[in-house]
Amino acid sequence: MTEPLNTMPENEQPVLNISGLSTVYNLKIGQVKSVTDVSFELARGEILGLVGESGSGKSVTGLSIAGLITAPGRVVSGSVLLHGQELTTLSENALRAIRGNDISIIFQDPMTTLNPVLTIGQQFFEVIHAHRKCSYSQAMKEAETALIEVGIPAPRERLDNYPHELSGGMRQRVCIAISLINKPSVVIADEPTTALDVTIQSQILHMMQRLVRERDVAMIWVTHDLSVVAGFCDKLAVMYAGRIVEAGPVQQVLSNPAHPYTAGLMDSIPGDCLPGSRLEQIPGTQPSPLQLPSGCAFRTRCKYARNECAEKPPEVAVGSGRTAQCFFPLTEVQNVRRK
Amino acid sequence: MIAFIIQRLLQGAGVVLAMSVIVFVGVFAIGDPVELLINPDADQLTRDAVAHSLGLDQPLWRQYLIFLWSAVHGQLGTSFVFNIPAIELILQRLPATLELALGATLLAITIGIPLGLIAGLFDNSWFSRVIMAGSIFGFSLPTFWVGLILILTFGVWLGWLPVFGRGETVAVFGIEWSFLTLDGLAHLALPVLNLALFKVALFIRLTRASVREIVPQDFVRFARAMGIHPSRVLTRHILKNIMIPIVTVIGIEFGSVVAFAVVTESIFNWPGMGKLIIESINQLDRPVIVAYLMVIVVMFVFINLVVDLLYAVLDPRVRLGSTSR
Repeated sequence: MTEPLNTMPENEQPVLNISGLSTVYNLKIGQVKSVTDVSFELARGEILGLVGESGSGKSVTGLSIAGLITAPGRVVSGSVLLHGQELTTLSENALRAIRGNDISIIFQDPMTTLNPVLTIGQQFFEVIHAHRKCSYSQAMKEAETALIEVGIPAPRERLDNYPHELSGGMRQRVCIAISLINKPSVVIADEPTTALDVTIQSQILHMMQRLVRERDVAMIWVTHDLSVVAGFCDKLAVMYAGRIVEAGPVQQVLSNPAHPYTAGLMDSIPGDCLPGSRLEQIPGTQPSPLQLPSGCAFRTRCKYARNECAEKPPEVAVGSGRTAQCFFPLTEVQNVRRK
Repeated sequence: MIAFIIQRLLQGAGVVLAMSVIVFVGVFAIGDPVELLINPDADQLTRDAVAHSLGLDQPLWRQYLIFLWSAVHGQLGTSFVFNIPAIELILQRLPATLELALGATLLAITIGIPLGLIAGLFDNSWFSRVIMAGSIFGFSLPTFWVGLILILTFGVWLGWLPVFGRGETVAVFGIEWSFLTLDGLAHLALPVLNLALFKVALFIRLTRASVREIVPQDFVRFARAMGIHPSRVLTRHILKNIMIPIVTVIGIEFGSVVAFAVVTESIFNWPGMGKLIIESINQLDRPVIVAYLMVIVVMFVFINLVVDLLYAVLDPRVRLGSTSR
């Protein structure tokens, strides 16, 4: 990617600036390129939806930003600038001071993210204590306020509870409160609502949206759920086989996808189908990450693919602040016919 | 909690009772102790007299009931050989074995758990491989052979350590202890090492396996992602979670050393319970065998109770006394 997409007001500096980020896993059976040449920017109070199938590299992108890639994985190139500070060259210790403090992560499964043998209060204390000097009682006061913010009733009692005594939705609220306790400026949320049922999901989404706006947090929302992205995110980046194939403001991308893969994803949403009719799906399966097709990785499944697609596709601007990595981005006319 | 303890004690009493029947019948089947106790040339009259004085002329069920009756009154029979109460004989020997068992278990914990942690945390490093390879030796070399090699190396060739008996002892509360004197400690060293070797290997493997299971879990990743220091992640987040299987095995292993240190005690001529039981079996000293096994069963019931109570301390998810468990 040459030009990072940019949808923010001119006067504001991006909190997070990712460019050319690539992460590989060196396995015995070969090298897996999980993330290749990923670039984007994020401003305060902005939510970026990072969308893709399982294995498309969206979670690895999140982990790479936070410097949480462990062997056999490795960030091989690219830069991650947080408030203009380069993170990829920092020592582990310096990075640890930033993690949980200025960059925070929320994991997918609240049932396994909390330590089963520590109370909620102790887990708050661990995270606060890791970054600043703080007495236990002071930490409990902060934790109580944080629990109120994420909508947990009777927070004082909850602090003495163990995770197994709380419901899944409650646990995810606790995880979110812990992630936000040190007032980070960037939050990476790795499918935090996937493991929850739909009613809880929407409650949590609303709460997150409010917290992001109130606190001016920049957030990366990793998900495979396009319906969540539509109502929740400002920007959207679609990943396929480790690359961002299309990016731009969320409404524009969803109403008028330029990359055939994005269009395929949209068509796969069952809601658009007539009852009883065959569900749409993208033909074929994701290519093995060990043997990606040359050029555009999607060309083996793409109905618009031609011979040129065996070359590396260019990054084309397809509207204001929108890009797509494709030789033949879909036009509005094509999109109308598609529907 | 109280209800749970009472329930477990009642269960334990049931186990002790069932065990006593099995032991009594089993020992009865081994052979007639009268044959070993008296001169082979003695006449039938003497035999009958001896059998009668020991209560061996009664039918088995009556012998058992008599045993049970006196057991309820705190008497587990009188040794045929020593002619003193069997329980007294066992309790005399208990401190020597306890010393060995405690020493071996402590050594196994202090060596095995740290090595297991290292092997689990740095799974692919060369030193982890060395630790794991070493643990295979500890696991598979037979105790008696290791004991002999230890004697040969440290006792015979190097001449550093004594290989025979308890050495100098000091009486505390009327009980003789070796570990309070330098000489006694020197005598303890080799048998403790011998007994600990298998346990060190066991704890290494158990700790490593537990660490390998806990480390990839989300809450450890989350702790790291929140910037918690690695040493704190280890002590607060990992160690607390792996203690549950480890405590179980510590309990079982401690019990089994107390009960079955027979081989090591024989090799190092350690005057503990193991040596007593072997001698008693050789001489068909029924009351001692039965009393010994009773003591062991009671000890295991007690250890299991303690381990169960520790679970509740270590793991908040464990609720004692609930019927669903």
